[in-house]
Amino acid sequence: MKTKKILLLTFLFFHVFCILLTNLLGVYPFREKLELRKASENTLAVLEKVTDCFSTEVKGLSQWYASLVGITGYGFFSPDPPYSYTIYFKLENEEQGVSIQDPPIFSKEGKSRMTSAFNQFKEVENEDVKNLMAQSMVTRMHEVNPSYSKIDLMTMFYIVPSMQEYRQGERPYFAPRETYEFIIDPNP
Amino acid sequence: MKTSFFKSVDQFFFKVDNNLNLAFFRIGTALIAMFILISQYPDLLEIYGQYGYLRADIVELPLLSFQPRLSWMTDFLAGHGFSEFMSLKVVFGLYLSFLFLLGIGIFPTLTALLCLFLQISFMNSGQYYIYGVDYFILAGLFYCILFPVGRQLSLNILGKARKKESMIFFTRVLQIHLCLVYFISGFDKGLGYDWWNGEAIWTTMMGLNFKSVDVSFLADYPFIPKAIGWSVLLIEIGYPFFIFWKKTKYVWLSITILMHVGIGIFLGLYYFAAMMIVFNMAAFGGELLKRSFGKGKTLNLIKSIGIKFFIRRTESDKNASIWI
Repeated sequence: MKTKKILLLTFLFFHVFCILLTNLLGVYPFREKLELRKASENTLAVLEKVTDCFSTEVKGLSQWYASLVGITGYGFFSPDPPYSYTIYFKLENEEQGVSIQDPPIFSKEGKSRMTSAFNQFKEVENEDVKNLMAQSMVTRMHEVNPSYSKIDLMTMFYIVPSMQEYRQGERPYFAPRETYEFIIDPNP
Repeated sequence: MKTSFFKSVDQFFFKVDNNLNLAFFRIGTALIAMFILISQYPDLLEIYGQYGYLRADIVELPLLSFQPRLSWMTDFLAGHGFSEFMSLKVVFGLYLSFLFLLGIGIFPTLTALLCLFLQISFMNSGQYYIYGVDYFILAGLFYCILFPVGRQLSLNILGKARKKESMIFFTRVLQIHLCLVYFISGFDKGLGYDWWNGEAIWTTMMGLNFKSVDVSFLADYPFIPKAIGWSVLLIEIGYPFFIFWKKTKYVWLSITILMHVGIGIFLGLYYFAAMMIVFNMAAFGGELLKRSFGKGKTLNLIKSIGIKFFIRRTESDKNASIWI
């Protein structure tokens, strides 16, 4: 019984260690992108020193284990919630003109998941992978709408003004970011 | 002194408990995972299909060869004459069946293991589409494998005289997990400016993706989002301290659950909210669950429903004879 209890407590220690290490490390990518409070930068610098004490192998093991059981799942809203990012398709042909469409998703849950996909697309840094992803999305749009000869994938931010700016009359607006243009070969 | 310290550690982690909360955790996790799965069904091919919106070969590009994915199963079934949609439906049906078995408590450890494998496969094959709730389902299934979740409210124990009690250790793991989740989340939020000045609440609720209610009037009352932002920080950072203190335990549990109800209503993240409520109730609402569904109470409830049903039937029979 005593051995069992010691083993269980060891498991708990390992478990807590992995969750702490992974999730405290998880805040670092935000540092470069967002404006943090001065006090936060100092706190993070201390934490960074603590996490630097662990070898890459320990960090790797901890991240692998935490990916199973210990991701907090709250990262999207921390430290500051980002602007909404979305993708639209501009479909064109001579007879039907221009049509702006959403991805072909039907369920509410599917739409929530599509939002995650857009945000993940935004985060992809490798341009080749991003181009492949855009091509895949446009191919699917073409399968759903075969009569169109040109399909553009447009990414944009939905900028929400601050409360003060809103009171002064500013309103939310779409800010175009990237456009991927595809001309469909009529005789593939 | 030393002995009393070890005694209190022993008491804190290893006292015997009826663990009804773990059964609630098992049922809650299985039910929510089932709802999430069913709600995705109309878009199964678009999200997880080989030729979906994001093609499987692109999605699976960063996966290592040993990481489970849906194409392992769909390719196998395709070799036996199944179409892609049909084989996805088979995997979907299998996952749903295992979740159902887990929910009713048939071989809970084995079914949780199979569910975990399928959950990882779905997450890997739809890795661009996952969000917070998927990680909590994953953690929930992982705990269902390790914890004695099948000792109460389970068909697995029907007809067998099995021990219902076990150590409270497993509940403690859940509690510590939640404390870490909330504390780290609150800590992360506190690093920036937006949760302190209310802009986080404003931006999120006015954003395109989570806009389910028009809250533009909040711009004229900035103290409301500011107060909500500060409350969220207080609830999350204060969680590990106030939830373990007897006097504030139920107050903190209630406001945390209310916060998740708010997230469900205003951001439309119903499943995420439900899963967090299940985690909270299982970790800290054990006493409440015992009072509601404890020894004999479920049976009494079923009996009383049975009696009411019987009375209603006899009354309707009487009415029927009058009308005839």
